[in-house]
Amino acid sequence: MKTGEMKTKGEKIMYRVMIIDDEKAIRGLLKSSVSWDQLDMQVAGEAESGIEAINIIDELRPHIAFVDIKMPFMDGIEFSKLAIKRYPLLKIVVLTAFNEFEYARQCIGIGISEFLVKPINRKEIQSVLEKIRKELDKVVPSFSEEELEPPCSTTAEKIKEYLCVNYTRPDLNLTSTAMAFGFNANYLSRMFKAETGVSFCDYLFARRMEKAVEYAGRKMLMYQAAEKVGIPDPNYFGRCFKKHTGKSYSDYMKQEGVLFAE
Amino acid sequence: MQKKTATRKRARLFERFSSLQLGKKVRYLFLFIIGVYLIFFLLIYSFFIRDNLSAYASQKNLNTLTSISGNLNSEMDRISDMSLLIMSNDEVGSYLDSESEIGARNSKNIVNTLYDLMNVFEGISSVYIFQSNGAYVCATRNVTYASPEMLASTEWNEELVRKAGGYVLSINGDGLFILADDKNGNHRDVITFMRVINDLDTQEPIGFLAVNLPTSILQDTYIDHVDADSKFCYYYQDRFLGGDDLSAEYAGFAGSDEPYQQKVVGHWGNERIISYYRISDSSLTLVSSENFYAGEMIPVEYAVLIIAMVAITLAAIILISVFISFYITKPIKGLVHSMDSVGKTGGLQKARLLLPDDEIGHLKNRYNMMLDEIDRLFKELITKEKKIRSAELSALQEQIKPHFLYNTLDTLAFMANEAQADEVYDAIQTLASFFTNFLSNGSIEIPLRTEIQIVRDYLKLQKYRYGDIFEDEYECDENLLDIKVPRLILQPLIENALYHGVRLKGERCIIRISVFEKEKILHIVVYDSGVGMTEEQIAALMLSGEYDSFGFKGTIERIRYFCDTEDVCEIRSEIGLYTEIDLKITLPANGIMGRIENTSGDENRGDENERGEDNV
Repeated sequence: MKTGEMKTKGEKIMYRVMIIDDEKAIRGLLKSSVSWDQLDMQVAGEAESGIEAINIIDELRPHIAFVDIKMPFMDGIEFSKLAIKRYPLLKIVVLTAFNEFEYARQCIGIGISEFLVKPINRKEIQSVLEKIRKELDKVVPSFSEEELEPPCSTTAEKIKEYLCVNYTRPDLNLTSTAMAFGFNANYLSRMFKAETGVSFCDYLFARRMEKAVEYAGRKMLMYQAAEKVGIPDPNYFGRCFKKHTGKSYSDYMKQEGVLFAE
Repeated sequence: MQKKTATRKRARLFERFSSLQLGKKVRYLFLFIIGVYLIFFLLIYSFFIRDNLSAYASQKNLNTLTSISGNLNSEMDRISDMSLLIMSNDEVGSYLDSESEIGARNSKNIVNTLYDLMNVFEGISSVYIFQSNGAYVCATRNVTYASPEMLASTEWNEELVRKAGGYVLSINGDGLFILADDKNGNHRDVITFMRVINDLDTQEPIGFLAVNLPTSILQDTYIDHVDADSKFCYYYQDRFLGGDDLSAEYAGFAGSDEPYQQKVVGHWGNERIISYYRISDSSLTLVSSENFYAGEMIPVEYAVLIIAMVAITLAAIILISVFISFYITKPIKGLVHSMDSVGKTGGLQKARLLLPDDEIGHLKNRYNMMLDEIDRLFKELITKEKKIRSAELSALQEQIKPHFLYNTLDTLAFMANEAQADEVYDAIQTLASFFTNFLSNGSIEIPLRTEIQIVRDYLKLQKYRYGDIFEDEYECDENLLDIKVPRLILQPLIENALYHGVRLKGERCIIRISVFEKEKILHIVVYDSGVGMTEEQIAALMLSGEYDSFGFKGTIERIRYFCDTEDVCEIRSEIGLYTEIDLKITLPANGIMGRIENTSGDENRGDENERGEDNV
């Protein structure tokens, strides 16, 4: 996981922040309204949905995640439950609109660090982040990046098989796989790359897109194909597809679909 | 004037009685009945029983008097017997014989004889035997003296002669005898019994006999009848002869010649009978005064009957009182108490009394049924109100300070303009237009045109948020846009289309609103080319409304309420292709115009809409 290497500013650790919200404006506002540098933080990445977040969280390896509650496909609560299970040290700040407050009450007791009510208030965020930084300062330095090798040796082949079976699960990612095999995520990442020459994430992504291309050929509707390959957020799926094939799903479906049909 | 105040007083009294509690009323009524009962009883007593009683007492009194006079007569008979013994005595005969010479000689023997007789017949003061010429012999206990003057006159024996054999009673022999005062110096009287002594052979009067008796023999005649309530005394002509002094009472009868007379005097509870009774053949009169008491005079059976009747009446009244209290007053009181609590506690408290199955029990049951009915109506009303309220609450809440909101939005728009941020200016203008129409001054019904403008603004703002993920189209019959519809019926449907159709598809979709009329029904169709809905999802949608500010279900309910029919909405959908919600609003029989209500407010709003559209 070279991409997630910790950057340092002098002696201090720069904490990574991830923003998960389906509104671009909110993400932008959040990014621009906080002086991240002063807090020794940086926005490492953002996601439009919980689904996208699951897929990229292993690469970003954030210390803090801002999560909107009301998102399609996988809402903030569902995502937070998953994330807290997989990343126990992750600090989650939930963003909620006032009339979702009853909904947000479900979050109590699942380990969410803070609640922020929309509309976003700069001062409030500032104070919440300062508080979180203090908490992180106590925990993170003692956290050892290096993990012992696992007692049992599992080949990358077994992991590939696992992925071939489970790729339809939207919550599948590096950490969940590592947990399934009883590994440390870092170890799994390194081991997988060493044995196959491809990163875990790239491999999973490629598997899913192969399938997506196949579905596009069969003229399956995009949102249905997205669901079938384990990326039920069609927007994110659409971007992934375009990144993989260089064409939008609908375009690809029109062109390739005809080929298939003929 | 006085009459007036009296009438007013009576009216006030009646009013006060009317406003009394039922229990008290009954009590007062019974008191009144008892009062009337007692008065009636007293009247009966005084008019009938009392008369009977005094007659009874008078008869008793007369009997007493007769009995006393009988005693006196028997005493006189005794003296008469004694006089016969004297008259038949030979020595007396010879003493009175005018021809015989032994008169003075045997007088001593006569006196002895007389003393012997006085010893036999007790209670005799003295006995005198007179010769026709006035000479006499006597046996006396040194109490009486014959008056020589009287003897000298010729009248003293005339009455005796007239009476022939009969006796005459007098006091002190009408002055013939003089009595010495007793040891204490009191004057004394004797009763004198006199008769003529006839010659046994010739039956010619030859002398006179006088027997003097002490007045105490009179007292002896009534001594047995005297007690604290009965007094008696004798008069000789008008002369009081000892005993209880009843001169005042006797004076009341002055001048009466009747053999006896009775009078009832005194007031109720202290009555007495005064009476006199003339002793036959004498100048003696017996006078009596007897108290009599009603209580004493009422026969026991009578008293028992009266007491029993009073007791039964009282018992009956108490029984009725208890009955009324137990079966009428108390249940009513409980019912009233229970009814009172309805107002106090706020809720509809049912009467939980245990009442018998009579009229009052029925009243309670009816009352409870009524409460049930009211409760049901209340609940119906509340649910109805809730349906309307919950739908409009949010809108109302946002109305709190619309002016502040509009002014601020205008300020922001100005600032954006100054900064030459055209897009921001547009967005703010759209928001302002959206809010103006969204609130519509709190109107419940607004023109369809305004509804559609709300949707336009809403979708434009959503595009700013989520990017260009849809295209909105409008196919509206211009003639139908002035029809009034419930406020905010389209925005929830559009919101549903956007969040549950378009956004899930991940592709650019179409949202289309069509307005047209078909068979007198106004159709408003919201179409989206989103992911579509399954039957289950449609069913779930109809039950939504928990978290959305304007639930889909609530919206449909409002339209149902507005149109007063259940069939107002139809949902058509194909998975992955489209969803179409068709709202059907019944037009009145007289056509489109029936729904259009011309008000100046609508025109103003129309202007605003146009402004909003210009800004797009």
